[in-house]
Amino acid sequence: MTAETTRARMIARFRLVALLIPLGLTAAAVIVQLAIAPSLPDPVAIHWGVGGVPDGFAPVWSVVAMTVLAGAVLPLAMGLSGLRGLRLGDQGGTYRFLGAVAAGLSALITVVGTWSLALQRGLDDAAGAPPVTTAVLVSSVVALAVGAGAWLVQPSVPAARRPARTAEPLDLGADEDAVWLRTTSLGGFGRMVLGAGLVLVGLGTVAAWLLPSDRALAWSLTGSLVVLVAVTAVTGAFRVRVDRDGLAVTSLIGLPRLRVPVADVEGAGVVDVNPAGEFGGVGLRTAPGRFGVVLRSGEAIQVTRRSGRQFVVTVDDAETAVALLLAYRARARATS
Amino acid sequence: MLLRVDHASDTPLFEQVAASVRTGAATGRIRPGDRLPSARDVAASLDVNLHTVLRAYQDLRDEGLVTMRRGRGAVLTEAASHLEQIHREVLDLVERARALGLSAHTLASFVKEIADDR
Repeated sequence: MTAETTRARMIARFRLVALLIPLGLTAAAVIVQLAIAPSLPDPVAIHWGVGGVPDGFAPVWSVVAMTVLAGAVLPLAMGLSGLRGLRLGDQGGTYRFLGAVAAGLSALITVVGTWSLALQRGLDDAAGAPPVTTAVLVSSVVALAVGAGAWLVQPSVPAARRPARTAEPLDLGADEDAVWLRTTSLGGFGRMVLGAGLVLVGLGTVAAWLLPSDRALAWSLTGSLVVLVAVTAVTGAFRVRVDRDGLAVTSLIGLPRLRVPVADVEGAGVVDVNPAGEFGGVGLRTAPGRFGVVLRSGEAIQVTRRSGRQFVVTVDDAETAVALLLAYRARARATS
Repeated sequence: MLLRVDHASDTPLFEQVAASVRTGAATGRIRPGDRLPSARDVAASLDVNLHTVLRAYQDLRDEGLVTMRRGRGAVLTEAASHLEQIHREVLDLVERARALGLSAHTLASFVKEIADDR
């Protein structure tokens, strides 16, 4: 098979598992949910406690909304960001996995949501709803099966490494020293997601403490808030520095501190990073053979270590940084 | 931004640091509102004295290219964009002089002569 038809098939299959399957499953689930809605108690049980006894209740529409949100909107967001990368010429196992996760997630949400409603048909009071243990177990198995199937229908293609653009080493005299410094911060999309998460969890935490509610819930929300604040602080912005010691990437709060010494630099270049496709998202990310401080899409420094592993950091003016790093590498090699 | 110093040059180190900042502003690599790296970071990376870098930043403040604020460090002012504009005009001038066969040296003395006369 030629490369062209493989690519076309890869994109078509990705579209099938990451867009069409979530849409189809969600449409079917919503139709069933609306069809049985008249025979359901109001409110319905949406959460079950440890003993299988319902302890959380909400109107039917909130289950439908949840099904649409987590069964279609979320997988579609994943699918569309992946599709963008594929159309730009990228490919690889990360996309295959992304597609499988989108399909599996949609299956889990639609099946468990619909099943938990179906169990409550004909009840006058949702407090008498039977346990959902079986529904959850079977939905999880179904989700895994759908995910595995979605993985298998997509062709296996090697990861594309868009070639790094090399830069001319900076013209650095024998007695000259130079330093390149720049701050890089989380791009619009990551900022939006983190910001929305902070606001929602923050409001939830305040509400949980102020309103009469379960102390355990309040504490777990507080815990989530602390984790979110820590993630924001750590991955929000980094200082990137190239000097005679090599490349250093340090979070604005001081930690973590990531370094590639000049002696460990095998090569360096400028690359255009697609976070979703190549790293599965933004943040401190690992991908096969690579580690990345990936805060946005676009221009990045890519350093290949002597071990062959790559270190990537998204930052503006990467070309100057690479030129300086190559100049120091050349100097280190000349004197050793 | 890129800062460079030649330890063997006759030009004082603080002037070289300041010149690097001016070049960054003139070429548009750093823009009004951008923060200069902390003097301590620069001094450590370039293997120069902290006071050398501080002196360079003070000179840049005196000429209005940066403002110094407690807690915010040295921040590039609007003057940086004027420098970028002049940079573009000089590039045009150099292009035209080259087309006429004038050397860089001749052009430089020509510009200096005119500037001194006015």
